[in-house]
Amino acid sequence: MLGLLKAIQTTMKAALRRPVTVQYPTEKKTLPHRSRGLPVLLWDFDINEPFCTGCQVCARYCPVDCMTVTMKDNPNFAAGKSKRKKIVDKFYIDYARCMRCDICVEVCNFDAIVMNNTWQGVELSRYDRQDLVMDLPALLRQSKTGELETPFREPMGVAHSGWAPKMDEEEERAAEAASLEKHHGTSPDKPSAPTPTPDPAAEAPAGSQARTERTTPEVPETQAQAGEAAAAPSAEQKVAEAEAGEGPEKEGGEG
Amino acid sequence: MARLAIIALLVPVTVIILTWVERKVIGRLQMRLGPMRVGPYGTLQGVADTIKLLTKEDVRPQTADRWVFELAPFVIVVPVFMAVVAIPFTADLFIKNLTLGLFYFVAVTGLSIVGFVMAGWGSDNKYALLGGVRAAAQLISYEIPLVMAILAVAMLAQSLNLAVIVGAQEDTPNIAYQLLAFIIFAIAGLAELYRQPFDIPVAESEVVGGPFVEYSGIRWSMFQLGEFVNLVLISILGSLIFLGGWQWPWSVFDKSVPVAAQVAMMVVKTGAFILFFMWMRASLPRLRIDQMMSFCWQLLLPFAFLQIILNGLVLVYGWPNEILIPLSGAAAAGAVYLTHRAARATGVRYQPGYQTVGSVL
Repeated sequence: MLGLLKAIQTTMKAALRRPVTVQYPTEKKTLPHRSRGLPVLLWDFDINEPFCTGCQVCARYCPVDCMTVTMKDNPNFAAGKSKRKKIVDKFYIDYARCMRCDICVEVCNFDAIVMNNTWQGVELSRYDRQDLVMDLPALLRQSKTGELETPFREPMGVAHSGWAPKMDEEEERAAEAASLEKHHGTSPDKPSAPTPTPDPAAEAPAGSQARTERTTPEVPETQAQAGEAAAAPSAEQKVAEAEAGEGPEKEGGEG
Repeated sequence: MARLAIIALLVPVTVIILTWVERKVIGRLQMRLGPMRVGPYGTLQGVADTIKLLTKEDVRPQTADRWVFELAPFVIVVPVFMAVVAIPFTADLFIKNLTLGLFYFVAVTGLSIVGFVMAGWGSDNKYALLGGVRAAAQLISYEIPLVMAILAVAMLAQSLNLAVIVGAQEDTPNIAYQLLAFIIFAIAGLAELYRQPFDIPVAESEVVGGPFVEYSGIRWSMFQLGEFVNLVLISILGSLIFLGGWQWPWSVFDKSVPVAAQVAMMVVKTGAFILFFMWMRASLPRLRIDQMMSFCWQLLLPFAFLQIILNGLVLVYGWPNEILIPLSGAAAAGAVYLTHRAARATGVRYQPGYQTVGSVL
């Protein structure tokens, strides 16, 4: 009997509250900052090129193999405008396959890929599954046009894993300096630069043509297949990259 | 005749509006918006639904009893429309002011049981049959306390003419004198309408829609029409015999109330009743069939008789009507207490030594 009254009271209270329903297509809730849509690439406005160097780390770690990445020499590097020796050439993500695990974002060394935190990262109905395979312009479009309002992109090594609190600019600088000191024993020249790619540029030999890609002397047969570098990103790639920083380069087969 | 035509046109329109109102109200009670797409704030939703239902295919199962199946919706709708004839909407606005209006109303609306049983039997479907039988059981059971509650009011007014009953409530509406009868009327009316918590015959999770399982399109919409007209009728009847009908409280208008004000009063009171029914629908879960039955026969019916006895005492000994206010109120409190006790016993009914729901009194 009292339960009856309670039920009646509950519905009355509910009626006096505002409805929770949102008229979705015309009216949208603001998504949380860390909302995890499908991954997109970021655009470096300072140099006008993507952050992505095409290193294929994301593609290698992707559990569902939804990515295909190729790398090329960066023309901006040759012109002296950019510190990136290599830049992404082609990038495909099959959104139909992606399971939004966020691993690509976590492994990216250059903070070049983020999970889309806007509605466009979710509203992806298409008439054909083929249309869900995004190419490089499609992946960069939102970042490039500034549609990606607050991209989930925070300083490397500080809040990368997603749950550390976001720092303000001074804290960020201090943390960066501390981390550089720890690694190199020197403080950085430009402490304010939030450049995400200090290491490859700094350590690259001056005369480097930066054309090494995937050749190793130990595995000569791969040279024959070098043309399909994009199709078969594998462990050799990692080895090649590791060697790139060290010393004498081999001529790549990408020609 | 003209009045008949007007009413016959007005009733379906009211039903179309009511379907929208119901969905809106239930939506708000559940923190939803309800229909929003068709027309501004979904106002044309009822129209869209009607058009959809009218254009749908009228499916008849191959094994159904053809005539019983096809006539059942009419058997439900026709008595409901027949009852509209006897309803006075204001002091002057009515189709036919019957001397036995109340009796006619009760007699005619009771016919719709036949329609439910026909639908259940004719569909050749287990669920439909089960629902039809449940409907018959429930309707017959709750008809009795309902009629007793109505009778109590008629005793007080010394008339079965609805206009006279309303006229007798000029100073005080019957709800004050007959609180117990009013509560019984509201609950039994809810059961008559097969609305939650008394939607046992049409329970979707138990008998998948009951007698309506096999119906579609226009025949199904006729059931809906009957249900909603019945909702309006019970609400109008309740506001006429308990809330004072078109009378304004505290004699605001000094005897000569303008017709518009009378209509407005009726709309307000009927609307309050309808909203009450919708509110209950959103709040309360469905009763079990044995709970529904024992509640009716063991609690509502004896208390309806108690109200009649109280009224009889007042009439026989010529006591002032005011004495009914505390008497009926106390009886209502007793009914509430007994329900409370029975409901509390449900939780422990399988333990030895406790009384079960069945033994309320």
